[in-house]
Amino acid sequence: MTVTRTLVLYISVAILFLYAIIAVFAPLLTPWDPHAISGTPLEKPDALHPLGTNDTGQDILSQLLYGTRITLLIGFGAAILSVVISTSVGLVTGYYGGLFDEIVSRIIDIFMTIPLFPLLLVLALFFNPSIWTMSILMGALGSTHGIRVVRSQVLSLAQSNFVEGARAIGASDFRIMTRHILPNIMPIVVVKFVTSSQHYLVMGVGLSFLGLWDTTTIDWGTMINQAYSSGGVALGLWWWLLPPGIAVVGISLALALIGYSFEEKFNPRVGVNRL
Amino acid sequence: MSGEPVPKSASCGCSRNNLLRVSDLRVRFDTHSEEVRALDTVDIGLNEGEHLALIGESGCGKTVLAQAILGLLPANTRIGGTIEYRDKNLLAQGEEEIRKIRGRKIALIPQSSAHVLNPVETVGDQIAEVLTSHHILPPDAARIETTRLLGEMGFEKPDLAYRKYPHEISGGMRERALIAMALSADPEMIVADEPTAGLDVMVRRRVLGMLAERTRDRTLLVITHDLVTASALSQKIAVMYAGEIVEAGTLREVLESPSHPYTEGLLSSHPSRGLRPIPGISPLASSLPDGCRFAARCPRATCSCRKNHPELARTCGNHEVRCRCDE
Repeated sequence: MTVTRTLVLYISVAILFLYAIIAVFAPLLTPWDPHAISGTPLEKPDALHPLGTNDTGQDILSQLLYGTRITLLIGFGAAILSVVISTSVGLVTGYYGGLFDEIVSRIIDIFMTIPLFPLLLVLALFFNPSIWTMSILMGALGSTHGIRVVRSQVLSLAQSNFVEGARAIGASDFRIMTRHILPNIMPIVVVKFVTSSQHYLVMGVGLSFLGLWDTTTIDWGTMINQAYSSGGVALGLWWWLLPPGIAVVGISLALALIGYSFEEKFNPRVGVNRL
Repeated sequence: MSGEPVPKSASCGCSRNNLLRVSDLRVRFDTHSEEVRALDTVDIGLNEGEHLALIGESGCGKTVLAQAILGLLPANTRIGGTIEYRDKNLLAQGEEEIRKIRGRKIALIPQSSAHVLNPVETVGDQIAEVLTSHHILPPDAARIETTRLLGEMGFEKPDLAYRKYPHEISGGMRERALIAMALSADPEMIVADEPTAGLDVMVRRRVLGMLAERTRDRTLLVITHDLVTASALSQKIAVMYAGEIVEAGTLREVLESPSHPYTEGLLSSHPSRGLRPIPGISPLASSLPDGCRFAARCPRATCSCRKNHPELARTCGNHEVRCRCDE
């Protein structure tokens, strides 16, 4: 890794930490209760309301800071689920092979042809899910690509000499999978986790922007939605619309750059010319 | 070493107190287009405490035999014959029973030490795994025992060696670590597959000495293409060619009066005996000739050699040869 790449990684990790701190300490950092009507509607930014108020008179800065929580939870929650599913299914199918592998692979082939975002839209319209159900659906349905990646790695590792060596000392299959193969695929699992949390975070903001779950939930997607639907955009109230958008771009960029840095570190053949 | 009398191997090859008895073993691999005959009618008997060297060139089926004994062959394999370990046919055992034998009763020192260790786990943890996965010792005790064993295997700072990753130590050290791994569960029998491949002469001598010392009271099957390794470790020798045993006997019988032309060729291709390689290459295991498998390279081959496949026949004592060119 070059110096600039390392620097970019540090900055990105710092940004991620900043968001995490905001999410954890939101109650201490916010001047107002985000649900409370703390001023008159559509106030301009001033000392009391640094980013003004929305159409019901709620403080926008407080909403922005509190919104970090839900937005991050959806993104990382779905990513954790997705990585757990893809690692375990990929390990088992890649290691044992055979009929089970064949069946799972064909099912994944089918699911991979269906685009995730429209599928989630349809599911959301029919089942009116909570944000948790939505996050689980995202993680589960989005794990197909991860399963493929992990499985192909495991396929080659399962043939390697050290796995045969482990079998020769009488290690059980479970032990070989967890102690010998899993540590070897951790790099790609970590990269997959970082890139998919970015992916799901943006997707979650997109879904909530479309108003697919409870609109009283405070997250960035809902905020942008309100700014649109309540005339904030038409009135040119940029302090309402831009902050949540910039917040999304900021964390998305940080996660993407962390993902690239890891990927490049674990696989030096990846090109260096993408920032 | 070859001249020393060995107590238990004095009886003939058909002895009943065999620890391991491989009879009529045939191994076939089915590939998409052809059948690969890796092993044919292999018979091997090993009494307790006996050391047998299996020599032959690359691709003759030595490693397949080692894998067959430990039940490590891939799924597309067809196996015939029997492998009896203490009168129990290993080929008829389930995976769970075989797993209890592997490492614990019969340990393998695998080929290519550079690849056989997990690159992301420390050497010590991998050795300790033998003890923990067979529930011989709890993890803490296994760690202490492994450190002690590493010390015995000539590692100067066993604590430090325990924490090294495989790429951080030299080839000779890796080989010694693998020997430690094979010994750690105190197995009755060790199968050593090319234990000194890729080591320079000095390191090889040290590793061989260590292996000879540590396997003195055990049964050993050493697989090698190297006559020095074979003669340093064993009293009996079996020569393999194209999936068959072509000559077997005591080390002295085979090395001093080789009866099969392949063995003769193998001996005279050794640097100390003139470095005269055998012309030609061995036949493909997917297209073996009907007659003697060595006939195409044999200086003494006759018409009948190319037509009729010879059987392993006893010449004198325990000396067996698969050649009919004298008839």
